[in-house]
Amino acid sequence: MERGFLKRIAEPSFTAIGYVVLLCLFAYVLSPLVWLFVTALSPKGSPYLEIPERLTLDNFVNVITGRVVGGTKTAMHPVYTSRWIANSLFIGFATMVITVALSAPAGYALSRLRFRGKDLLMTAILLIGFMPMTAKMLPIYRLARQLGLIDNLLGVSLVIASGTIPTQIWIIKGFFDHIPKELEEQAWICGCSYLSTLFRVVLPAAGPGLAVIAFLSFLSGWGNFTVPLIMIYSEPLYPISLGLASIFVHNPGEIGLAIDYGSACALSVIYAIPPILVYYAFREHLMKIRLGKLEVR
Amino acid sequence: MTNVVIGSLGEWVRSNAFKLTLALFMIPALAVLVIFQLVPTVWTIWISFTDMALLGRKFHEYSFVGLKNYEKAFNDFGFWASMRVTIYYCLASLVLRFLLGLAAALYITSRKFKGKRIMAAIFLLPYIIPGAIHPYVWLSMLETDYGTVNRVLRALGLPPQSWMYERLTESIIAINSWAGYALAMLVLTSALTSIPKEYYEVADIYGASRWFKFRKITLPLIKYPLILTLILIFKEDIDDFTYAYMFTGEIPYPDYRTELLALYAYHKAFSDFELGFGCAIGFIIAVIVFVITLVQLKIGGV
Amino acid sequence: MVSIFLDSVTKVFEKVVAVNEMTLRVRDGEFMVLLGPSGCGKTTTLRLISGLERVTRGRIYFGDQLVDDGKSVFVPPQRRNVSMVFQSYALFPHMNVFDNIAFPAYVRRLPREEIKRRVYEIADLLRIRDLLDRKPHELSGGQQQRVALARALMIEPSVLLLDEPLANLDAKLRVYMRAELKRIQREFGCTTVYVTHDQVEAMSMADRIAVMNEGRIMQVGTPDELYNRPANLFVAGFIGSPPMNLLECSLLEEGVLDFGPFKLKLPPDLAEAVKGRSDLVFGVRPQDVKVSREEVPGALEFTVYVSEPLGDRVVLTLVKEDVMLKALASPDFRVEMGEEVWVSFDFRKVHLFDAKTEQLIV
Repeated sequence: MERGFLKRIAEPSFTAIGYVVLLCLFAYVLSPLVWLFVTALSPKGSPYLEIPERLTLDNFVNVITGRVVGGTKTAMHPVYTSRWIANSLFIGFATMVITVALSAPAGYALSRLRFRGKDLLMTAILLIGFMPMTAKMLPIYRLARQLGLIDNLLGVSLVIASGTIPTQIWIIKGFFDHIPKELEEQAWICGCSYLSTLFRVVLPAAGPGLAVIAFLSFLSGWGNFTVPLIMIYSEPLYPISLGLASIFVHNPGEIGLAIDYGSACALSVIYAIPPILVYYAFREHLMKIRLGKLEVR
Repeated sequence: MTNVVIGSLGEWVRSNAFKLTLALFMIPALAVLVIFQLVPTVWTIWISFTDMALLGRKFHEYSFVGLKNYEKAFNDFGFWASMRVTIYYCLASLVLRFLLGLAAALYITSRKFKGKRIMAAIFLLPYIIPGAIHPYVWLSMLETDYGTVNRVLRALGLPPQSWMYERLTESIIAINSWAGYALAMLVLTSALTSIPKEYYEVADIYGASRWFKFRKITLPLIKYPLILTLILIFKEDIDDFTYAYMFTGEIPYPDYRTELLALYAYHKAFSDFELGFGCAIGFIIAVIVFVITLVQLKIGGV
Repeated sequence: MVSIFLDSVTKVFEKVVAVNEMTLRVRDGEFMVLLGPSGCGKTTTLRLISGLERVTRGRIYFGDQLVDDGKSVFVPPQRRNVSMVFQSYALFPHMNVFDNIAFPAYVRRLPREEIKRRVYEIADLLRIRDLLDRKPHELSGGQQQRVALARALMIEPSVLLLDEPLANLDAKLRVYMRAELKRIQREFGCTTVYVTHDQVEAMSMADRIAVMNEGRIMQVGTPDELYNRPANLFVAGFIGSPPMNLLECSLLEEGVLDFGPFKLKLPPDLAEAVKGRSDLVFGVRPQDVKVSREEVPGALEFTVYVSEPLGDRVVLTLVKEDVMLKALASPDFRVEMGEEVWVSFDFRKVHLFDAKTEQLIV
């Protein structure tokens, strides 16, 4: 049965069945998102997919300027959506800066140096990145307390960066590996000092690679949920992920939202835009990166 | 850079200046990794042997209790209930994520057809948008009375379910599969496209059927990325409790219907403040991942 | 313009001896070619001269200045005023051609105007003036090579180092560039060290050639010297195309060489020179092997094994039992495979070698 399914899927012949299958796939993938966008643009949203009378950008405006008011049936409650957006932006950029500043030199060193135990080190770095987060996160609270990093956006960025650095080191090392050593040697022969060569020759040549790790680390910071969950306890400091979680009400039997659906969906859409933009910009690279750790031969 | 140097240490430093600087380049990254990744990992293991609490007196005055936390875990109703849910969730997610991803990858790589790029982009969409959005996105689908899923079910004559309450487990599995199949799709597309076309052409010359080609050419050549996919999927599923948390909050359901092991550990540590116990569960999760990964590698013949 | 002196230079990588006690003098303004098979250490030698590698033992002098002594003295490549052209050209991919060529000048902070003038000058010389704002990946192999050369000549180096720069070009371009390079070197007058494994290149371009094998110099001399008076078997077999015939034989009494299937009587002066020796190697170039259809006094009968017409000449492979010989003939000497021909040698061009090491007489 599975064979037939795979066979049919493996070759799209444009028969009626083919189109039906295609349609089902589309529905599966897109329909949940349709409601999100539609509601974000409606004046008053609901959990049901309804055609709104008119489309409006009011929800977005409200969310960005922080005029959203929320609460359960019992109490009104300020909702800091604009702060959340700013926080996420901060965490995203901070994570990006920290990650690139730390990973690029390390990747370069690992690409050019030769020493016993280098493979061991690379594997160790990989393994530490592979460790499940649940094994690491609990003491992070305690660690952060002792370092004074609780409720500290920079602290959150640091922790998130530490989680993505192993992957980024591997990626950027791969890029540096592709820059032939002869380029640097030529620069030296031309009279360029070691430091100068790094900035004038090596880094520009690795430009695309640096862009890739910059964007990946930004997304890591932007979309992260668990680290802020553990490290941030003050509502105005929530990134969007925690914010969305906080207004998602989940008393048993009563799943709904603490604010109006329109604003919630608008916030979600805003939250979704940067990753979509980044992946659009890198659509060519996408397939290559994923296989960075294992070659098929 | 002077030319003539006197003294052996100074001279060694000077002539290896470049290499030394490079070595220094690695230090900040390694330092951060050690402090924020390695230390917490080791610490988790250590804490699991204590009765440390997140707040209160036991934060500072904890004591070493050996394997008591682990004993507690094995005798704990919550732990085993959570384990059952986790097994169900991980198995179902693995199968769904993998098959859907494989199907999508095969589809994308099969023939040139118009709009292939757009198809790939659409397939990728759920994976790209941040995880915290996913429960929102599915709200309208899962609502009992007018939600899309139940509407379709009713139209087909099937009984509607209470997705947001009774069947929360199935809901988070569905959301996870919807969002996560793209990982398999990405890895497998890469793998499939790296198989040289010539292999298939040779098979065609000898009159091989499509299924034969798939079995004898495709599958063996994507064996390693395939195993890698399974490993990555499993590790993600057992680790990420975003959806479970968003549907649950700080207090687990009495029947633990959404209580993934990871969430259970979080609850124990941050709601019940039992840090030691939570860390024990965390370590158990790590061990499970380690073991299962080894099993997967062994089965795959790596 | 400086002279280069390598004094007993040795370079060891881990367990491998790449350069073994090599002593070489390159004269000021000379075009010296390091010739040898892959792995003979010629590229390593070049890198030692450039400063990209340090010697393990020995010294290197540029003129009077000690530049590397394997211990405390080391002038880094930045300070040696050398230019090097790599086999892969190593053009900076993110800069256009102008910036690539001007790079050494940028580093030295020369004034803008000066830089511009010189870049145009060199670009004209190498005929790449119209490529100045292209990027390296937009250029053909030959164009890239000229850009690399231009960059090397930008700051008038004392020493110019070239590592198989023509290896990646197609045959026709290679022939053209050989002449160009030689011309440019004459004009600029820099001391040049050129590495190649192609002996035709070496012979056509060099003032002197250093033939290397396994980290040692086999012989240093002008192309003429190497061709006409090879010092040992290696050089004899390496230089010349088609390569010299080298046949093993043993010396019988009275100046007669025993090749196995036949014997050959040596003329008196040669017989005198090899008196007292036993095992020899008989060397004669295919060009000096005379082949004719009619019997000639003193000639030997050989069978034609293969005949390869090259247009301007024919390469004949001749056999007599287990001895194989190559000879060159004019294109109108038509023979069939299996035919019998008569072979004789020009003894003035014959070389006799000991079991390796020496040559005896031309």
